[in-house]
Amino acid sequence: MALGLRLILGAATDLISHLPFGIGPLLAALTGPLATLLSIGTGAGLSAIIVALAWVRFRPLAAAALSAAAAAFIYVPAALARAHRDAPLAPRGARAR
Amino acid sequence: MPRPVTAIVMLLLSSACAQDLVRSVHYEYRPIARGRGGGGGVGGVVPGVGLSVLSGVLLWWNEGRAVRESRMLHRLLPSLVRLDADSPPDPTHDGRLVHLSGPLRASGLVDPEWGLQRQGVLRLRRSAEVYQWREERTETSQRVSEREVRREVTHRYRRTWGRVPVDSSRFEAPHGHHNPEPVLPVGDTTFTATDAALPGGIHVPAGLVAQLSDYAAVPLAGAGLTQPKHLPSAAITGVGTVSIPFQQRGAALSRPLPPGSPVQTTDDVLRQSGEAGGRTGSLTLRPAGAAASGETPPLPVLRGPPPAPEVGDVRLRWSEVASPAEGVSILARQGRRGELLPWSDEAGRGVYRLVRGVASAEEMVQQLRREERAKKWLARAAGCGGAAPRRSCRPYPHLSDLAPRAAQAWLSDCGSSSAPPPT
Repeated sequence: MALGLRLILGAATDLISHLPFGIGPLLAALTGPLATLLSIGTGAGLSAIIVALAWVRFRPLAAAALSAAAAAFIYVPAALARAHRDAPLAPRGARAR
Repeated sequence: MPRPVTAIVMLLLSSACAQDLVRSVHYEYRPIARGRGGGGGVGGVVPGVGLSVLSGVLLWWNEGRAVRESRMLHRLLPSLVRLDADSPPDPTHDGRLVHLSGPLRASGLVDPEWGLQRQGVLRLRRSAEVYQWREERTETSQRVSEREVRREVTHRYRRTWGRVPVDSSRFEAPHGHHNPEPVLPVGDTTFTATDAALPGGIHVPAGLVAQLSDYAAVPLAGAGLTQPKHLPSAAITGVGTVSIPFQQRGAALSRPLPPGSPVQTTDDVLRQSGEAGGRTGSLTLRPAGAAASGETPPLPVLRGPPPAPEVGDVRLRWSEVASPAEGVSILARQGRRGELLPWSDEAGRGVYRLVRGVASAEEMVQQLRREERAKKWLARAAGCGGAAPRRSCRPYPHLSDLAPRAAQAWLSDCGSSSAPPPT
């Protein structure tokens, strides 16, 4: 699963590497490891969801717990990435009015 | 998406170390990629989608299989009948899953081709190996400029014993590394006792006996090995080895023996009970009288250091599984005449198990559960892709070109990484 996702995300890093003025390869070098981490995390989460679905019929409680863990596994990195992206917009010590 | 054009600029064949090393150097035109982000690029999308779908199918199938296996193992114990191995088979238990523990006995086995007889053993294995050339290929790549990569391919040749014949015509340098056809088929030949039984008379079929696999070497001196007519040059050259020189196919031993090597027949060895003083030098290996009487002559014993092997030589070794002194334990279905057959549930999942030693039914079921758990997690890891090949983390040739040391250190870390388990 993770390997398949990494191959899919390879297209994105490939497109980034085409950016002009020499920043393409540099950005691709940065996004490549990120894509690897993302594919590993997402692959583990999706795998856990499939396992949970398979167990719904036989052990519903275990399946529900596993689904929650898988959702957290996928959601937490995305939330962290979003928080990281939004951070520079808000100056330190500033409060929303 | 421009692909790097490969051009062989130079081909260098160097034959060093008496033709045991062939090295070729290629210079490939492979400019530092500007259009490769890694992961196979856009062309990797379709394989990526396919691989993800396959992984999902594998995970789904594995969970279903695990559930069925778990249910079957849960049902085992309540339906199980514990029998006494000393008692004769009871027809009332026909068709039921039974558990038995006790000593396993068999009359013994014979290797008919070589006349080796072993009393009381459950399995006998003859391993034939051929001394042959083997090719090893190593490849190294090194970027020499922004446009070229130097690729060095080295083929090494060495002689080793092997159980699978190697086709030397496919070698990079077949000349001087020819592997002749072995004088007899190489590989393993296994004999399994078909008359094994428990003390009560319950017959244990070969399918169960074959689950014992802890082999021990068979000493050959005095084991009754006979000389095959088509291999007159075969001789016992060690405690448990029969050597068949390639050059003497169908002829008497013609390779010069090491000076002072005593050669004795098996009869001589038995008669003199290990005492030195056999005949030396080249001699007729057949014992006097054996050929005249028409009996199959025993295999001669070559004492002293064995001659150095040559390509094409074949050696034979025997190993056996003796009846376990601690007995065996069995889980199987009792057939009509007391025979033991594979047991299976409605879903087709079955048990047919023999283990060494006395183990209770609960212990055997526990062992089955452990094995099933290992299989389940192995398939989960494969489906999750946590143990992804190193290649998946190594799609950044331009990165390693820009910052070789740091990048390679990171990539080596990345190659050994694994995803957390899904549950």
